[in-house]
Order: sequence, then structure tokens, then C-alpha cells
Amino acid sequence: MIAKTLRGRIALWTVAVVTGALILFGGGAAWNLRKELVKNIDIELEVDGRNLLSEIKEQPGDWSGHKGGEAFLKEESNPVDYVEVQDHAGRVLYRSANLGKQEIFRAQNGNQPYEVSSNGRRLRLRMFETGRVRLALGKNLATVRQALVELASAYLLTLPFVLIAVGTGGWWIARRATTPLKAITRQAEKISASDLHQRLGAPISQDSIGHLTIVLNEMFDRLERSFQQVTRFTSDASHELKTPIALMRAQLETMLGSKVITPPQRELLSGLIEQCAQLCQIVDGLLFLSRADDRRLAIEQGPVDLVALVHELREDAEILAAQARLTLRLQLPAQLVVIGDARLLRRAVMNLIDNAIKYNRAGGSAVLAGSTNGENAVLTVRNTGSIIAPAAREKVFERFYRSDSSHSKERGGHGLGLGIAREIARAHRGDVSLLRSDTEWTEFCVVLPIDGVSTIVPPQTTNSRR
Amino acid sequence: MRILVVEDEKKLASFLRKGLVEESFVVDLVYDGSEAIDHILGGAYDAIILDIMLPQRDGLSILREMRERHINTPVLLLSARGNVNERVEGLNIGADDYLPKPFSIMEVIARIRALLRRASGEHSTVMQVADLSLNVVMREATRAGHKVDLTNREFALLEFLMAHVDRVITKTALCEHVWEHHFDTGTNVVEVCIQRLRRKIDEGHSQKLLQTIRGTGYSLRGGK
Repeated sequence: MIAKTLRGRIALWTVAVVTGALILFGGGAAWNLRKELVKNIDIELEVDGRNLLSEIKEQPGDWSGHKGGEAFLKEESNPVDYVEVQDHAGRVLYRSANLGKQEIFRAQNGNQPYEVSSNGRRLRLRMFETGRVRLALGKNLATVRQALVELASAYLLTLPFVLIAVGTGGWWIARRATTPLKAITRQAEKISASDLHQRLGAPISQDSIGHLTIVLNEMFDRLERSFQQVTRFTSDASHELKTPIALMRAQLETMLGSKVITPPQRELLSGLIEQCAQLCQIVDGLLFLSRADDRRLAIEQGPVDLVALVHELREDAEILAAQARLTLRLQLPAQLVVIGDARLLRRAVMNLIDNAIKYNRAGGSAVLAGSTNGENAVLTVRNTGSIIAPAAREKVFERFYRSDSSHSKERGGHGLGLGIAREIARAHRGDVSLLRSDTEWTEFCVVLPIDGVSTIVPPQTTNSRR
Repeated sequence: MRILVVEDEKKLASFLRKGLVEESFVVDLVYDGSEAIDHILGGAYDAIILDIMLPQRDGLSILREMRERHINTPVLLLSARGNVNERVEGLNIGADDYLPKPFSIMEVIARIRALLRRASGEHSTVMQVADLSLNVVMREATRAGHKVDLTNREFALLEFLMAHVDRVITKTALCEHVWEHHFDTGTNVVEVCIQRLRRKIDEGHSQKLLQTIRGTGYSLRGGK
């Protein structure tokens, strides 16, 4: 969970790197310590060896038998742990009892100290030679090992504390480093299509964060320009299309009124007029949407009873439902008043009802339900239409979106209705969203703030922005 | 009957809309001049109420452009009281009537009705087709002396058909002039409402006034 945030990751990485460094450092320290301790042992062996050699030179006779040597070693309270003395024929003149069967001479090492393991003990040994005998002295390395174990345990005991301190420090540093990033993110989040003219605050420093701010601001400039171009293009194109369509239609209507045309021609003409009207609807829809994009929708603020509004639409909706062999049910409270623009809200609700009837199966049903949810009025429109694939749940609000299903075209419509409904709701600081689409119901919901100005929290929306 | 109201003062605009809707008019509201010209060019309106003082583009220039493009929809100008020159100029470039502010909604409706009558060549407030009559002021319909009860929608439908008697009216046109909103689902609603209206005015009478023109639309025929 921690690793999900950048800060957490930085802290964890710091801890990992420091742990690695400490392990290397500890290993190095242990290795060095051992080296030093062994060096001391070597010196002791050297000194003891020389002493012993000179003893042997002074008392040559005593070394023919075991007893003498034993006595000598005891007398001297020898710091050396192990001794073996041989003559040049290889006969053992003396051998410490604690050596067991371990062979400790290694001719090839000459005068260099060497190590031998036996029965879990590790011995540091050194050979000496005189004219008569050769001897090997050895010390147990248990003390070295003990020192290393102590070092390691001291290390391991302090390590957790060090790591906690490092992690906390890493977290703190990461926080310091990411605070300006967070501020930029917060500001950038606020810049949406609706207020692209906003910019991030001027960079406070010349570092990479400052650079990021500048780069982002430039990107917003470009974004705003192209967004404006699209909006202006849509608006200009729609505007330019209106006149020829209107002209075409006026001429067709004049022809329709003429006395000389035959019934088939009349049928053709009225079909063309209908096409003109549809074209005009599309152009109107586009103009409306480009105005919404440009935040130029004029919203009249007044109390609007959504229930009364639905009842106004009811007569038409019932006719449409009957034609499509659907059952239309209303589950509405006595009233549901919001502050807004009645004309626009009627259009939004009508679009949703039209949608619910159009994309339904024969014999299905459509239900309109109203309720309040805290500060919001909620109007849901559900129908028994075909399932909208999860991937298409946001696309249905896009302009001219059509599902791939073969018969969606013959149902008429131009694919702007839901987009327009959503823009209207958003202009009222509300939203339209698709709540569910399964085998049972496909349900759209309009959420509108009751007082017209509060910010909204939509209920369980299908796509959350975060 | 579809009316376009172009008025930038939103309170006044919505007050006008409310009054007109109560009289079964279909009303579109726009608040500025550039949007107004879009609507006028694209929409089929039976009359336009146009304020002279508007943001972006004033009412007189809209009126001039309309008339230049041969859009002959009747226009009722709204002007500030006392500005005679404006009114004279408005009438001279093609306005059909004017009303100084402040005005009463009753007067607006009466003047709009008068404009609509003039446009359809009618002079009386009672429209007459054969033995069917429609009193648009009293909002009463009678067929052969018997009162016919009509819903608001049916009344608006009949009013439009009577204003265009003997002409072929497409379903598209009915949809635009009588319904406030446009249905994607096409003109089914129009068909159903026409059937209901026909049942009320033609059932039991030998002369069928409301005729279906196959594949085209409808026509109200009062001829022999």
C-alpha cells in the first residue's frame, strides 16, 4: 500500500539502498576485524615459536621423550593451544593431547601461517624448523569468531533502528521533494475543458519543478488553442450549414404546395423535407454542444419542478411508448424542485426518455423514478434495453456515438441526445451518468443540485474520475 | 404555433414564455442576437417577438437580415418607451407591429394572434372551416354547433391546421410548430395525436375534414 505512492516508493528505495550499503559496510568491517585479529595471533605464534625453538636448542635432551616436553609446556604456561614436535625422520617427539588425530604439519606452507579446520574448530598454525626438529604451533580461532559474533549482533541490534530512521528520513525528503508536484497536480486537476484558460501558478524555483510548470502551461496553451479551434469550427460550420438547409427546405415546401406534382413526387418531397428537418436538428444539436463547450449556455435560474416537467412530457412519452409496445411507469414524489432552466432541463429529460424508449426491446418497459439524495435531486430513467458493454459506458455520451449493433441505425436519432442531456446537467453543476446496464435494467441517472449552486457528489457512478 | 422570443432580460423573457405557453403556443427563448439569427434561419416559426436592444447584435439588424433573406415570418418588435425613431425604422424595414415596454402579457398575446391571423389571411378571431369553427380567444372548438373538448396539444394542432387550410402540411412541419421538443423517434407522436383529433372532430360527420395525404402529411379541407 505504501509502495503505491511516490513518497512511499522513495522511502522504501532509500531503506533498500541503505540496507545494502550497511551490509557491505558490515561485511567489510568484519573482514577487516578478522584480519587484524588473525595478524595478532600470527605475531603471538611467531614470538612463542621463537621462544620455544630457543628452549629446544638449550635443552636438546629433553625432547627425546614425551614427558619432558609436556613438563616444559606446562611450566611455561604456554599461551599456545597446540604444539607438535617431530624430528626430521618424522617421528613425533611431542604432541598436545587436545589435537586428537588431526594432521597439522603442512610442509608446503614453509614459514607462512595457515589455517586448518578440525572437528568444528578452526586452528591458526605455523611451522618452525631447526637443524634437529621441526615443530608446529597452533591457536584456536574461537576468540576471533567470538569477537565477530559480538560485532555482528551489535550490528543487527542497531540495524532496525537505523533503518527506521532512514525510512523516516527518506519519507520526509520524498515529501519535501513531492510537495511542489502535489501542488501542481492539484492545480492541473482543476483545469478542465470548462476552464482551459486557467494556468498553473508562476514557478517558484528554477529547478525541474519550475520547468515542469512551464512545460505544462505551454501544453495547456496548445490544448486551449486547439480546443477553441474545434469549438469555433463546429460553431462556424453549423452556422454556415443552417442557411442552405433552410433555403433548401423552403424551396422543397414551395414545390410541395404546387398543384402540378404527382402523389409519388409529393411523397418524395416530404421525405426530403423530413431529411432537411433532421439535418437541421443535428446542426442545432451541434451548435448547442459547441455553445456548451464554450461555456456560453445561458442558464435561466428559476425554480423548476422536475415532477411537473415529467408530467408535461408524459402525454408524448406515453404515445411513443405505446407505439414501441412498451410499458411506461412513473415512480415520482409529489414534487422535486431544483433551481435551473426549465427549457434546458425539459430538453435533457426528454432526451433521456426518448433514449429509453428508442433503445428498448418490444414488450419491454421503461421506468422514471425521482428522489432526493441529500442536496441533490435524482431522476433515474431505466429501461430494458440491450446491455451496454463496459467499454462503451462513457462512449454513449460522446457525439455521434453509435453502438455496433446492426439495428441501432434504423432506430433513428443522431447520437447527440445523451451528450446534450449531460451538458445541460453539467451546466447546472449536476451530471448524467450510466448507473448500470445488465440483463435486467439499463439505468441512466440525472443528478441536479437542489439549490442550483452546491457542488455535487453523484451516487455510485460507473466511472469515477480518480 | 411556434413563436421565437428574443429578449435579453431573462425575467421578462420567461414571463413572456409562460404567458404564451398558457395559450398553447410553442415557445423558443433566446437571449442574444447571434443566437437569434441562428434560430430564425434554421427554425420554422410562425411569429417572432424581437427586442430591439440586444447584446451582440441589435434587433433591427436581425430584422433587416431576415427580410433580405426573404424570411417573411411576422415580427413583433419590443422597444423602449419613447424611442419613436427606432419604431419607425423597425416598421420601415419590415416589422409587422411593435409594442413599447412595459407591456401587458394580454396585449402581447392579442397582438401575436392578430399577426398570425393576418399571415393566414383570416380576419376574424374565430377560424372557420366548413362547419368546424375554432375561437382562438375563447379557446373553444365547435363542429356543427356541438362543442368539442380538446386538449392543449389537440387545440394547437387544430389551430395550425386551420391557419393553413387546404394546404398539405407535412408531419415534420406539424412536429415543429406544435411540439416544443423534437423527438428522435420521428413523427409517431404526430400520427397518434392526429388520429385522436380526427376522432373528435370528424367522427359521426359525413364530411371528413382532416385528410391524410399518403406518405406526406395531412390537410384540413373545407372544400365542397
